[in-house]
Amino acid sequence: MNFLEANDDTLVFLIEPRGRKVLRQLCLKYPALKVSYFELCRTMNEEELPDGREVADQSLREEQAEVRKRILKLLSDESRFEETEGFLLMRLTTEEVDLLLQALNDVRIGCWARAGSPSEGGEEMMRANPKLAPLLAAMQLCGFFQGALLDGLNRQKNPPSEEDDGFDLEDLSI
Amino acid sequence: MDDSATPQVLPRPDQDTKTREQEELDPGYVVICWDDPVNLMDYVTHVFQVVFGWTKARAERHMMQVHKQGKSILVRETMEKAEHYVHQLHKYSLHATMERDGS
Repeated sequence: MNFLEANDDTLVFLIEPRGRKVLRQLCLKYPALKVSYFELCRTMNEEELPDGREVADQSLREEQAEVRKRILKLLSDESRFEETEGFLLMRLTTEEVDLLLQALNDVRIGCWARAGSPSEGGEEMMRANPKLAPLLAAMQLCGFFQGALLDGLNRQKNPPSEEDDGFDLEDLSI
Repeated sequence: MDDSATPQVLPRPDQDTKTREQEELDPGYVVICWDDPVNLMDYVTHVFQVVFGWTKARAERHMMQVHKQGKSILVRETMEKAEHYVHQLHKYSLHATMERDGS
């Protein structure tokens, strides 16, 4: 998947039909992290913590359910996908890109947590373990889609000037 | 005049409740984002911009602090607001906590 262009609040990405299916498969895993995964604080004791933790957790669960519903709906919405020479043009609003980023990152972190939260350099260990290799593959796929979505947001906010547009071989200091 | 009227004794404010209320209004809480080996740097920058409304430069500065120093203090706030921000950051799967300032 690659970012193509931005028009007002709409970002257009070029994606293969197979990529669309993979993106949907990944989003089906959302939410992968338990709401209780993250601690609210490290140093305060129970009496000092704010009240209503359960309410906040329930609110997050409901929010995640709504995000999941929205992104699965948009990925099934044919009006957002336009066929062009074997590829698809996928149109998303800035808000929808943000929702996809949330979901994909949750799945990435969820896979990492399931693999035992390996420290940096843990990729080799995951790749060598048949049980963990699929988790690594899912993490890498999420990262690939996240990279394209973030690239789209960055280029929407900072469009290249006409002078900067395009690739100039003379820029290469070989 | 009714002599049998109940004496007007104002209820004493519960000390614990009072202390708690003061704490909730005190901007003595910090929101900290902790480093982890898995979140993408650009993603962290994006989240800081969305949650706090920061410029990209400021968001990147805090992201780099997290990356290089293991953590960054993002904001100092009241208990209620600090909790709100931590929940927002958790929604984006960032490892953030709220702590008492100076702890």
